Amino acid sequence: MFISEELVQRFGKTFKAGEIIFCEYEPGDDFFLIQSGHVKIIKIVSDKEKTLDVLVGGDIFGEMAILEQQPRSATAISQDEVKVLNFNRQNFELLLKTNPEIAIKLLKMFARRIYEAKRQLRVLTFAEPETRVADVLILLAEKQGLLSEDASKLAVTASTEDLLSLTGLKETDLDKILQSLSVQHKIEISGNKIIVSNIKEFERLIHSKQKQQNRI
Amino acid sequence: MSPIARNYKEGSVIYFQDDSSKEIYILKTGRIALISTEIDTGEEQKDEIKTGEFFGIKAVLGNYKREETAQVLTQSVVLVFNQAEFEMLISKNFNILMKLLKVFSNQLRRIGKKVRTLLDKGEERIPSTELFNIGEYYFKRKKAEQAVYAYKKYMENYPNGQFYPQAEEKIEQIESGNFVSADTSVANEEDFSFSAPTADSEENFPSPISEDDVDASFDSNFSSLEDVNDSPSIDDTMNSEKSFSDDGFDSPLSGLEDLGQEVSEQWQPNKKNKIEPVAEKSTDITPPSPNTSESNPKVKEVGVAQLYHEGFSLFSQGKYNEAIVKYDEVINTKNLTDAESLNFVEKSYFEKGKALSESNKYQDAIISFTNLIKKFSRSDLLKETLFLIGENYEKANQIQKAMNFYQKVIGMPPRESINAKAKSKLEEIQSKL
Repeated sequence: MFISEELVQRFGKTFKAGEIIFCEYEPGDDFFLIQSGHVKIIKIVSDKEKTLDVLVGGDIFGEMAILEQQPRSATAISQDEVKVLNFNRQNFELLLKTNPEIAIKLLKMFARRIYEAKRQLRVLTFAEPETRVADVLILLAEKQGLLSEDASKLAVTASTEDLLSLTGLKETDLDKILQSLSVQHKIEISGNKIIVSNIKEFERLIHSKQKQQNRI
Repeated sequence: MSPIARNYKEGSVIYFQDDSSKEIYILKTGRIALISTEIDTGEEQKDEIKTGEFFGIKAVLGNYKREETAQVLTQSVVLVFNQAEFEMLISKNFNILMKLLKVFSNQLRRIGKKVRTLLDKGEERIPSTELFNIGEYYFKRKKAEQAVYAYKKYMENYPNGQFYPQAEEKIEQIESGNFVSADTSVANEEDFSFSAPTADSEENFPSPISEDDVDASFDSNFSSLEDVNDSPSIDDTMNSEKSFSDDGFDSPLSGLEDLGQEVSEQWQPNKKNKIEPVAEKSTDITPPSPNTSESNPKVKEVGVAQLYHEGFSLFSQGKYNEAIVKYDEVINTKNLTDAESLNFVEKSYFEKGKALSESNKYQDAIISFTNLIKKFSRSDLLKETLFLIGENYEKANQIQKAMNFYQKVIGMPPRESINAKAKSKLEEIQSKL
């Protein structure tokens, strides 16, 4: 990436630790390229702060607002002293023009996120909570690269928070399902991991549910 | 390195849903349809591609399997690009890049919105109210700085908003000190409790390589491998109101016809077919200021690009030694700093490794691949490189090492055909032991 001294002078900004860079739902039409430091991306979900990501030098954030003119979809907070370049719409285009690889990086990021979002959408198309939980476990296993021919005993890392936000279920409902799945020995809960006895069984369930849905 | 033209007969299929994806296409002549299944309704969707349009982009860039089937309706000719060729093409066509970005971000918002709607069970969120609520969230938790930030932003952006008086009052409360007890200003920072980035990101984004990593000798130089998967969060999409089109995801990108057309016209089978950058026609974009571009080493870029392409072409003619010379010239070019040039260096290590392997110089090939990983620890070619290292160890009869590398590839997300390939390689070895 080519960042000239002039760019730094014109667009450089520094945040001290703990500062909000921008806030979820805030209108905004600028974006940031991190030069140094860590930026934490959070969202408030069910009255709790959820960390979505921690970004480092070379990462970009806030770009959706520029491309789409929508309020921020998450909050960005500096975690330590953070140096960024701060661009508005006009110089966003300038930056991309002189650094097309940044644009390509964004494209790849979008392509990946679209995939993930569609994947979550599939989870949410299932009405029964149990099916959603099964599909989320498959989703997480996929994401964690655990799926293979040998499907026995996969240890899927899944925090309660993740399960709640992915399935859209209430905590009490989620607990009931996890309990019932454990009783049936389909899963085993161990700390932050859920050990799935046979993921193929879940895959078959999803497959048949999809067929049912399509008939309706 | 240039696109090739491929002929397809009526009724044939260019790729099936769930195939691994390596190529991006432009329809030159003929008729092709993309057939996909709607996620929410399960309905089959059929989109016909217009002549000159791109298709198959997203799965390649996002590195996942095909989500649709590309079926040939009448005899067709398509131009085929690999990822590197496609990236090179679009990096020289700013308008296309911007269009693609907008198309992608728009899809992302739309699918995100659907997700959001299902999660919220139809409750509409009003941004202004939500912004105020964020202030309330921090206020409740006595995080003064954050609360003030959100309230102030609310007041700035919604001077006529219904919560304006409340926001104002809350800020006064905070500033008058009624809000915090004496010690909270210190406590604030502490209870914000940012965990260390590594611990945190590991929790949310599991490292792609298993902890009981196999090849210790390999590790010292590659601790950064652990980071390979730290690309920006997908979760922030999952939980946000961003979105997605219901119009079939790789539906032809409208507006990209012109470029495809131009490219396909420029392509002539008998010339040494190189893609010339399509001339920038648009006038609505600010040209880069002379100050920012003057020190940009464009001259070198052209140099290494040229060399790389020559190497690539020699390689494809089976002239491996000559190709290696070209790749070495790229690798040994001094003072390259811009990403584009460095990308050619990265790819040169890769291609040089392949050329060496073709010439049966397995150890040298491994060195070249290892250099790639050392120098470009976040390379997109990482997984493929690890696989090739395994393959070269196997050819060099260093079976244990080969197995270690295959093992590594098997565990690396995302799961794609190369993981399966590594797995079958490993099993093949094991069956012989």
